[in-house]
Amino acid sequence: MVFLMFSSKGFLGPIGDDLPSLIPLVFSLVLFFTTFTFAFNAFESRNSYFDDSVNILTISSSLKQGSYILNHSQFLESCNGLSVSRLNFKVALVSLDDYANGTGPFAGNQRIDVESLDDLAYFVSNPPNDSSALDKNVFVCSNSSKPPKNNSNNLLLRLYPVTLETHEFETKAGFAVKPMLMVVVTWHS
Amino acid sequence: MAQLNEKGQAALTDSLFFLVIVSGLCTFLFFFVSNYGQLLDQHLLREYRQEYASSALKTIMYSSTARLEGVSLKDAAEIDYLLAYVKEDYADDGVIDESQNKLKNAVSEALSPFNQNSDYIFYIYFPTDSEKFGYFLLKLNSRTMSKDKPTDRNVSISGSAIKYFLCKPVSLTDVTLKLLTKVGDVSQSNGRSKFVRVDADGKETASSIAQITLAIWVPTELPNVLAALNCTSFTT
Repeated sequence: MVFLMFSSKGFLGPIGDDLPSLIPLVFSLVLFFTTFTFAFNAFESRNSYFDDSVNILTISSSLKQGSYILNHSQFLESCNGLSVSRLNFKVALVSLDDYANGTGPFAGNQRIDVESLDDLAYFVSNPPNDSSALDKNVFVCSNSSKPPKNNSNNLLLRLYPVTLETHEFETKAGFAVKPMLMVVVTWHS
Repeated sequence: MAQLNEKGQAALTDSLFFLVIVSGLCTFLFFFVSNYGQLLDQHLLREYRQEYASSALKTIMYSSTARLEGVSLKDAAEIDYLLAYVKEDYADDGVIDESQNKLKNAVSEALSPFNQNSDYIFYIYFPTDSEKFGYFLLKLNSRTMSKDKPTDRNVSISGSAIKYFLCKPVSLTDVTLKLLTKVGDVSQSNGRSKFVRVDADGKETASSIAQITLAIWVPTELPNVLAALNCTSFTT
């Protein structure tokens, strides 16, 4: 009996012998699925970023109109012609002169704050004899009623210099082409 | 009874092999994910910078400027496109001198959002008129690098300043070889326009096609570039 005990190898049983191999197997499966989930989420995130980048380029190209904007009506017409799905965007024209020199709405803070684009945006006052209800035309275009936040999901910001024709009642000389900065912001709600 | 004495077949080795294979695959997947889309990301950034350069060049040339120096656009009695003003400056004597300040102001304004993270050149080149540069503006982010000891590995960077230079390169090849090939990725936009020279009676005496170029790049250390392109500090 003693001889038998010394000579028999560690034989627990058909299932018992396989139990230790379960540990590396389970660990392998956990490792694989964790890595797969991480990779999938990373792919989704990167693809979403690339889609947003392409969309923001498309929005900018449509509204820039060859970097020459005739008037507020043309700007609004381009804005209304935009069709963007599953993405919020806001486009505003700000005075490049004010931004570069820290004057006007940029006095004291030469930064573009996406939350206060409505305050920074350039506007053209309607002449006194204009029959429209609005006293000023603001160069802002957006498909969302809520403004973006600085910590919005997937916030992207692009700036483009453009030119804008001004009305005759803005300058003594009459016709003028003013350098502007087009601020394009996209985000996910 | 004989089965009790037979050695049990352990599957531990098989599972260890499986673990090694899965680990290898997961490592490969991890590195693939970390590099995924880098080329596309760089391409998109390059596209944006290219669009910006193109828009900036149009903005610079087609913005209005007051005819008189020091007068704002709002108060000016007479205004014109900046390109027209530069052409008129050239028409008198074949030299762009009176409009240098206005050009520099327009360029620096159009590129103000990129001031801290980009350097650029803006030039007007006449390939058919003695291959000369009518105007060459270089903007550099100037920084001072210093070490406490020569053998230190850490470098202190201080004194970030934006400096403008007017340059007189010998040729376009010089600009390409001594500057543009040494700064990495360059976003460049070109335009062409006809410049004419007139005599005192206003009759056209000569005409040239000018190449107007704006090139932007990420700030790069460029030793000896100022001497190579014959640059002097821009004084207003």
